[in-house]
Amino acid sequence: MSILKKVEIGEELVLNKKIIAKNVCVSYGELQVLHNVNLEISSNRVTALIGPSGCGKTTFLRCLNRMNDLIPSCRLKGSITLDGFDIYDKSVDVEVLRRRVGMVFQKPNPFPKSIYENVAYGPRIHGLAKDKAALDVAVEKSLRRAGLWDEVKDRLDAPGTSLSGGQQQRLCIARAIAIEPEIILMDEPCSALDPIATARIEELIHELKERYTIIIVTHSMQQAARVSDYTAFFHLGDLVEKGETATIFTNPKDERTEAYITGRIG
Amino acid sequence: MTKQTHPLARATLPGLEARYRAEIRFKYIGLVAVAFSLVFLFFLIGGIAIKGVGAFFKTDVQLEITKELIAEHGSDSYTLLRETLLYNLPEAKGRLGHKDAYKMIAAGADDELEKVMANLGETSDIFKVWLPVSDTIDMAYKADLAEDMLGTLTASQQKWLQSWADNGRLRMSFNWNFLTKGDSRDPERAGIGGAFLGSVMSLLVCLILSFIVGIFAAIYLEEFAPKNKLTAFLEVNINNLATVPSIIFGLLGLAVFLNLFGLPRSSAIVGGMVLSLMTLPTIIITSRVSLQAVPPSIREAALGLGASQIQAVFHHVLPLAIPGMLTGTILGMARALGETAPLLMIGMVAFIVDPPLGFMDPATALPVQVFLWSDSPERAFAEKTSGAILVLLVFLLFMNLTAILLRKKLEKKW
Amino acid sequence: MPQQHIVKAYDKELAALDQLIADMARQVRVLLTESVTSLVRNDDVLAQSVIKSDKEIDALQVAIDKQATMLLALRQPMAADLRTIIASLRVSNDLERMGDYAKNISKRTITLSKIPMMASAARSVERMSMLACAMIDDVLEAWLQRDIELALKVIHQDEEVDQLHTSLFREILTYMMEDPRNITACTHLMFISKNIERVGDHATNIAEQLYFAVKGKAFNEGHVSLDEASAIVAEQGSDK
Repeated sequence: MSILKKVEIGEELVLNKKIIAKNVCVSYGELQVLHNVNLEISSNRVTALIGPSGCGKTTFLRCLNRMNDLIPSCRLKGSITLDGFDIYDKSVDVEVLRRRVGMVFQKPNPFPKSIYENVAYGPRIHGLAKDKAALDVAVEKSLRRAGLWDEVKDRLDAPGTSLSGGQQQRLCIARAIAIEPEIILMDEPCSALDPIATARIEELIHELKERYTIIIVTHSMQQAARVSDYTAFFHLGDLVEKGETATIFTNPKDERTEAYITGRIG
Repeated sequence: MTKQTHPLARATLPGLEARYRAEIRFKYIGLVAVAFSLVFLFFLIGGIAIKGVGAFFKTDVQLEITKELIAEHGSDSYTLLRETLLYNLPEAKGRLGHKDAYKMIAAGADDELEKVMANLGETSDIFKVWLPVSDTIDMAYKADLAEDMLGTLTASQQKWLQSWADNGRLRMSFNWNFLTKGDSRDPERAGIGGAFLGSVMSLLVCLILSFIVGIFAAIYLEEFAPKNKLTAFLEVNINNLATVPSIIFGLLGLAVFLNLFGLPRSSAIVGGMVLSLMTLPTIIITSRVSLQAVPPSIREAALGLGASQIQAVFHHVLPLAIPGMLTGTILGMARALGETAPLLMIGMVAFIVDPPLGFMDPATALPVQVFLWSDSPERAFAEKTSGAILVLLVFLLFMNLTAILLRKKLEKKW
Repeated sequence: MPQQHIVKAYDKELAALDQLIADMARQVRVLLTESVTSLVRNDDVLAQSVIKSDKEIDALQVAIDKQATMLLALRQPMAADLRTIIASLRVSNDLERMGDYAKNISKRTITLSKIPMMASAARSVERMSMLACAMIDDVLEAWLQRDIELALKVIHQDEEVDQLHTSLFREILTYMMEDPRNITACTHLMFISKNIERVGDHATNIAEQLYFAVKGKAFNEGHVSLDEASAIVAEQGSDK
């Protein structure tokens, strides 16, 4: 089938569903923040979650690596499966899950340790490196993949906090990929960075998606448009529309989506 | 030609001038308050310093000993001393005269003499030895033979003192005894060494107990305990305990440690335990605050990497909270150092001569020693009380400086 | 569009773009009417003014391009806004061509003024131009109201213009066969007829762009061109 034909039909090309969320409802105590979310995440693709503030996209993201467990009043109904296995099953060890599903946060938060130690921490606690030499290899590999190696290879002992904002965020990405996750969750990773640093991270995301599945929450529609293959639009706790990014931004089906992306609501 | 006011000048905004004047007034009031407190402090400390600095020095008198005296009384330093005195003060006649003469020299001078004798070495006809004078002579000489001090001496003693002073046979030397020796009935032999050691040992016990229990309690309450009514209740109680009068802890110590557990009365270990009860709430509170000050983003980062709660706390949160915890601990220790009431309750008010050798030995503490000496009538003890207060203050200052330096050194930027 | 943008200036700029298109369309309609009038009345002065006025239409196209480019660069338009702006760029091209056709008619009018004109042919041309003007009116209305139904009507209206052109073509052929002296005039008339037919086609294009802007997909109902003139073969030998 030629590309033209596919574009005409407007097929949703969801390949190899890595994560499947079915009828996910999340509430904090009495307040329900997500209503019946059904979403499939394709592997080796970038999926963007967009929507106005308070629409539940960050909540949904944090369900995927069970970071919401830290909030005692948070309750989840429905199922989220990774490669077919329910991640909220009783036999699941949250630490094992978080090894496979890594996270990068909004504000760069490197540990107040050396650059080397930042990246080495994950492999160390998960026992991924047998000895110092193996650890060195793992650290270099992660820093290379994050596009930071050339800038820091001479000062691995410098504190992580001595880097610029963009470099710190790349360090956090290196730290996250050092434990060889399959999925990387990114919660507005560029919102604290200047445009050049943002562009470098976007380029990095493009490179990373060959190896990892990436889910990114972003406030910037332009960023979602530039960086993602699939986009899901959340509004007031509902998943309003999901589909290929190009379609969502040129010809969305739901009028709420249209209103949000053209700047009429939100 | 009139000068035009600049459009941004102060006069263009109404009320601005008045506000500035009010601010300057406020600034000066603040400065005056600070100056006032400094003056107050100066007088307070200055007064104590003036009164107490003398305790660090003692007066020595140079006496001559002849070979014959040594030959006759060499073995018995006590008699040798008396004979030496009489030799040096030929005017002393009769039993009263002799008594006056003996009272010119310090109570423990015979031990001093024995030590000096051992080091005499070379043979000569006459030896000159420096020996400490008695407390009354010492006080009189320190006061430059002032009238009120001389009043404590008899007429002959006054005369002898005068002649010694005129002949340059008196000198001031540093009073090491004050720092090393334990308490004594004789002022010239009394020192704070015992109390100092007792304080240090009590504080050591206090530190070990309250630091370890406090840190771990704070970590548990802050990081692991579920946030429910029980933990809220605990938190309220810990905050209240920090303000409970310290004497209550003394009563508790008396009832539990002494009566129930039967630990030795007035020992450093009991003192330390009582002080730790007192300091524990403070340490828990400051440790919790230090833990809360660690940004949650660090915890989240660690947990996001798949670290367990314990790993996240001990690898990341705790190292960042340690400076604050240490500062809180040292400040708690500084407070414990100055507490008297609870130690009185557990019996550290007894008259202890020997410095404690072990934690179970009876001991006393610096503030208690100050309390005891302040009761004594002798003028020399008045000086020693102020001297002990100075030592206490220096100790406190040292602890606070340590807190500041430690904090500066360990503070990490995140 | 249902709601206003949160940033009101954005709405104002989009409205300005629409206004420019409206102005251009109205100008084109005036020019077309005047050029056909000048043809029918043999009015050279009017024809000259039409030729000059085409410059204004070109200027409007430049203005529309500028406004659209500015919107694309500064507003990062999405979805319907994006499609509308892209459609506006294309519509301005169509309108500019329509203006050129009107100018061309006037040029030929000046040439034709030296030659006598067939009355019935002139009437047919007039009728065609009225239809074309009606199409312009309708498509402009449809554009401003974002009315798909009206746009579809315009697309169908083109059938009539095509039919008129076909019959006029036949008519002119007969004139040419009747009297060879008519050939020059008839050739020009042929072009004029074709020009008006092209105006109709461009109006249809505008309607299709509107469809794309509103619906988000290309119009492909496959409208059939009823312009069969390209298939006409004149019979050899004269029918006297």
